[in-house]
Amino acid sequence: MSAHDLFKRELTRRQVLRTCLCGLGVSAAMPAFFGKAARALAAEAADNDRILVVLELSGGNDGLNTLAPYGDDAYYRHRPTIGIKRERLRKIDQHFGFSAGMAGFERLFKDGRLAIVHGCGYDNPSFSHFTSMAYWHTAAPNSGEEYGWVGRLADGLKPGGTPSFIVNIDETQSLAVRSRDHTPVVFDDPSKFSRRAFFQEKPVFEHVADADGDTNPSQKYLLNVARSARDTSALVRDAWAHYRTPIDYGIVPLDLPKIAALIEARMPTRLYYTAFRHNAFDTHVHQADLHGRLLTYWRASCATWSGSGAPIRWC
Amino acid sequence: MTRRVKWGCLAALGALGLAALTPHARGLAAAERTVRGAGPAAWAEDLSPIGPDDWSYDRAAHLLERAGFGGTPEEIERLAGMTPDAAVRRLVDYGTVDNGHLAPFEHSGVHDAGLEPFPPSRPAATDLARKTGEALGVKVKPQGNRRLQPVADKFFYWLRASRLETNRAAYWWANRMLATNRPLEEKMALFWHGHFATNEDKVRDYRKMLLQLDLFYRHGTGNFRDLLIGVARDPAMLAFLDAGVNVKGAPNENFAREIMELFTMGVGNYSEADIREAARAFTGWNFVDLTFVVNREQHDDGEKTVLGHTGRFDGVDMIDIILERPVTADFIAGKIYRYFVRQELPPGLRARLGGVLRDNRYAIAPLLRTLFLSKDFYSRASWGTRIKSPVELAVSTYRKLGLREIPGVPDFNEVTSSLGQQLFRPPTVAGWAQGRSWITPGLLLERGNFARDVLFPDIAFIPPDRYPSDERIREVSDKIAQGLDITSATMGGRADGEMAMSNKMADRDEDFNTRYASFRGWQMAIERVKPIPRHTAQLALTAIVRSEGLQTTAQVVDYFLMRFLRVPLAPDDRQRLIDFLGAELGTDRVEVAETYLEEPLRVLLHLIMSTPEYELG
Repeated sequence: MSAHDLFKRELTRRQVLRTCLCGLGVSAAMPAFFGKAARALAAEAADNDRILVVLELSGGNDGLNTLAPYGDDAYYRHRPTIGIKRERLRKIDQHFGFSAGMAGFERLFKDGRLAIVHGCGYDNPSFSHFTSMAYWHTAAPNSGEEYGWVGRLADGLKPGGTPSFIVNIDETQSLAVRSRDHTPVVFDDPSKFSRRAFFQEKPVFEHVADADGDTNPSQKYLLNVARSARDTSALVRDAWAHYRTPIDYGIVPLDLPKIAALIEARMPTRLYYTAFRHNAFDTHVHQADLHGRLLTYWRASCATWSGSGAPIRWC
Repeated sequence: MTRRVKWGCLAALGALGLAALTPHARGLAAAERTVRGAGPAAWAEDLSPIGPDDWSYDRAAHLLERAGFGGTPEEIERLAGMTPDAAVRRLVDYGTVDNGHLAPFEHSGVHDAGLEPFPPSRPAATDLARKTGEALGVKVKPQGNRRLQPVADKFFYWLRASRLETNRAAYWWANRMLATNRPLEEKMALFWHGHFATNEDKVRDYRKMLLQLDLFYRHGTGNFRDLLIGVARDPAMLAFLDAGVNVKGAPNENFAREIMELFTMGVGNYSEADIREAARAFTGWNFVDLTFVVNREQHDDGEKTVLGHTGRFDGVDMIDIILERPVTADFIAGKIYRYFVRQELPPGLRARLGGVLRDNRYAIAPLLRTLFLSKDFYSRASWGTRIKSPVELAVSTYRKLGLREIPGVPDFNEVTSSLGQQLFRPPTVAGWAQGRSWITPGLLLERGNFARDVLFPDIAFIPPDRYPSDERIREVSDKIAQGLDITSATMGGRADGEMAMSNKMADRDEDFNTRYASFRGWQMAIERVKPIPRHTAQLALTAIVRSEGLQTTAQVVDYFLMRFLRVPLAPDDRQRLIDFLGAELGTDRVEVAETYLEEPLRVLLHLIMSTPEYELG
């Protein structure tokens, strides 16, 4: 069976995907694959309070080794060295199995709480690491699209923009959240997301000028960011300071605890975006060990949320 | 001299009609006579030169901000006093400008010949030692426990020492940016560093980073062909792009891909086949210590077909083929434009800029002269729209404060790294993203925090080159000092002396202990590496106010706004600052508050440097 056939098989999963994404109204913002299922649900999504958390496995993760098609000879033929032996896989059916480090994910799938879309890609993939990443962030290959898919999603849900709608936890802003109407709240360490200021300076820092006819575009951008920083930094810092959890996120918590803290503090954010730092999955050699280890971190971190009893669906 | 006598002398000088105007007032008077602010919008995309009538203090400030790191009013006035043509030539044709006051880098002496060639990993080093009885210039102990420990120690020593020395090299470079008489030389070096990006984390040799910087100094505004060939043969670049594994029969595409994709043409101007063939042309290109070598046996000298040409090409031939493509000149000229002028570059203008580079056979200086003299450069679209990178922000802040030395508190590398840019450590071979990528809500607040740390040094500052931030290293250090055996000392967890003593198993039998080597490596490194001087910023803002003859809070605010900002504040914001200063001083007259003026001035400056407008140049 060719890879193309594999992909056709996976189309039956679209049912599960639709359920998973139905609350968010993924409309014209998403690639065509999602568009049909989601367009009808856009209006409903704008009013409910579901939250989307996106964790990017930067570098990137090798999907065929995360959920390996052990039932397909072609997999082992094409991957004589890095193919995972079927005995080591956590099987979800006669054809696919999770990488050994992903304990618990097969349970989530069988309970109907996990959707998987296998074999995402596009024709004639670019071999440039940087171009490929840009395509993943915009979900619009070969298009010159300047906004990210999460950014376009936000613009679709809330045209004109809503403050604090997107939160991106990272050192720099991801292209994925770049938006026409929204200023994403971007920070790294919530306890450091603050201005160190003297008491008497605070009234001055309250004011951020509005743009007028003389404001140049860069200046306008900076004023918007300043406003977002002023409005959100105290909220974020307090949310983090007050967050208490008995959950063990494992040795590499990623940024999920920070997101949990904000959700618990009832931040009005609906779209959260974070990633493994520094292209952790980017290897040219020795993929097996590193990817195996990174997937266990991911699993440990996410497992806490799935065990928490909250109504979470995974995709 | 009492204050009254001092002011009296100034008045007398004024009466004598000598140059009693304060330096700022002189400059201001000149500016009143000529042009303020940006040129008309219609100047956009016009590459023809401005004339002497278009020149002013404000235009000179814009030029110095872009072609360098900004300057004090005195420095700007010097440029403003020349014709625009002479000012641009002074900046671009810096070869004859004396820079003798700058000292060469003072090595700490951390390197020795035994370290070459440095093994790719700790396991490789210890395996080599096991096999041959020696590695890194250190022999294996004939008998006893941990016979390979000295080898492991030396491995980590070099990693730490090179890292610390790289931080010193960053300080040396930053000091050059601050004190040089050739600002464009440094700014171009910084530009090329971001373009031909290598990271010491992977290169693992501070000497190679300095060698590469020297390459940028030598060819930065020279000829791009010389620069590109130099980079392709540069040990730092060869190490960074895995040239060592690019050999006949197994060409590694990394080098060839980055040369075409990032350094010369950009995606879409070559095929995958071109990359595979080009990789063959560069096989065997390697380095030994700090010298470029070509390993003849590993060089594939067969026939290659690349970009429509066929022949037995080597690396230099490849470069010439690439340079022949029109897109290369467009790509490079376009990138230079987006760095110095503005991000938005219409295709037509890009092609014209490429034409300038091509017409000058890849000589870079003529392009720069054209850009810096062009109406487009002074048009509204290019004026006060450029967001400074972290390094530029720090250096220009220090320059505008009139400092002659980069302060040791705050630590320059810690500052720029927390803002997203560390010299000699670009995140990937694509360098830094530039422009709005530098600014997020978190980072914007952090930029204001940097200003505060300069004006009000942290009394609890810990020098990062004297204090390992890794807690485990500190733990091992403490436990070794307490007399624990190596196994107990490196066990981790919260084992204190008591618990270890009850653990009668004690010292394990092993070839070496990695954690101990990590600690010992750090210790050996800080023994050798010279400490970075920890002076705070030597500021005297009161003296500036005095010498400028500023008398009211409004004048003080306006002066500092003029000195530090390139874009005016909204009138409300300006007034708020004046009211703030008045409240802090308890008066709006400087003369009354002179004896306690320093602290309020610093708070005022913190407010100014925290404005969004301060990020623009």
